[in-house]
Amino acid sequence: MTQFFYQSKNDKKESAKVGTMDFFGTISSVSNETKKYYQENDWTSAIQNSFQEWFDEQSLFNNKGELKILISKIAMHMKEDFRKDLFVQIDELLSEENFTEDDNLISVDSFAGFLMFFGLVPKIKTPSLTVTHEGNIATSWLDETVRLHVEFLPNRLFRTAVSRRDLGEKELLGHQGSIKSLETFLVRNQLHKVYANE
Amino acid sequence: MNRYKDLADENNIVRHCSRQKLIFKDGQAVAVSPFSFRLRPHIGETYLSCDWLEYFEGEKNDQLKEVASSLKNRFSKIGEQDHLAVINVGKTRECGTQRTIKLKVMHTPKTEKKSYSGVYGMPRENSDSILLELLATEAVVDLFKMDEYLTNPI
Repeated sequence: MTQFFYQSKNDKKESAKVGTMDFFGTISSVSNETKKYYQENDWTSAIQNSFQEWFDEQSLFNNKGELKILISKIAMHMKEDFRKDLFVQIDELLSEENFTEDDNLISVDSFAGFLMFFGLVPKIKTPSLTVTHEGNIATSWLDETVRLHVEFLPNRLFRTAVSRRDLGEKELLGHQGSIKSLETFLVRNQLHKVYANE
Repeated sequence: MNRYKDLADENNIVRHCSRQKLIFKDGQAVAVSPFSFRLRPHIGETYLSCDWLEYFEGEKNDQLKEVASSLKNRFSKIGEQDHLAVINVGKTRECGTQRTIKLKVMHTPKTEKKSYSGVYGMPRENSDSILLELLATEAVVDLFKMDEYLTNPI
C-alpha cells in the first residue's frame, strides 16, 4: 500500500488530504470528508493528476539530492562560488517550474563523469549546464570566438562539439572518447583558455 | 495532391526549447544547446518537430504570439524559462549541405496543429555532433523568452 497526499489542482488553498492506494491505484481507505470532496469533483482524474504531480515532484527532489550529494563528496576541492553555481543550476534544471514533458531527470552516472573531469582539471571555469534527451549532463563554455560543448556519457565517456571562428574561418570539431583523454583532446586543440582558468 | 510542402529558404521555423536545452550566461539564455537538435530514438522520432513562423500573418511579434499560443495548447505545461528558437529554413539546408546531408524542411500540418512542420533527413543515429553544432550556431537566428509572447503569462 502506498500512502499518498493529494490536493485539488485548481484550489491550492485546499489542505492536502491523506489516503491510501494499492498497487493497482485503487483507493481503499479514505476519510468521509475526502469521499465527499471527490464525489463533488472529477475525482478519478484529480487523483491521477495529483498522484502524477506528487510522483514528479518526488523524482525531481530525489534527483537533485543525488547530484548534490555527489558534489558534496568533493566539495572540499571546489571553490565556494563554483559549488554554489552548480547547485543553482541543478535547482533550475530540475525545478518544478521549469521541468516540462520534453525534459529528463539527470543521469547520476553521467554527472559523476563531469565531476571526474573536474577532479582531473580542477581549474575549470563554471560551465553552463544543459541536459540531453538521454538524461546526460552537457557542459558549455562560450567566448567571443569559441563554443565548446561536452556531453558526459555513461561509463566515463564523453562527446564534444566545438566551433571556432579564427580570422573569419570557421573550424568545427567533434570527438568522442574516454574522460581520461578529454583534457588531452582539449589542450591539443588549444581550447584550454575557454574552459580553464589560468 | 500532396498536402505537405517544402518551405522556401527565406522562411523560418520555430522550435520550443525548455530550460534543459538552453545555454545560460549571467542569468540570460544566450544560445541553444547543439544536443537539443538530436532525434529522440526512444520515442521513435524520425524528424525534428517545429512550427512554420510565416504560416501566421502579421508582424513578427504577432506571428511569435500565435506560435507560443499554439505550443501552449499542445503541451501540458510550459516552463518559466522556456524559449522559442527561430531557425532559418535556408540556413538549415545549408548546414546539411556542409555535412553532405540533404535536409528537408516541410510544412506538415495536422488537424489541431496548422503550422506544424518538420526538419527531415537528420541522421537517425545522432552521430554527427558537428551538424548539431552547425544548426545551433548558423541556423538559429533568434531566441525569445516564450512567456513574453503568451497572452496569459506563466
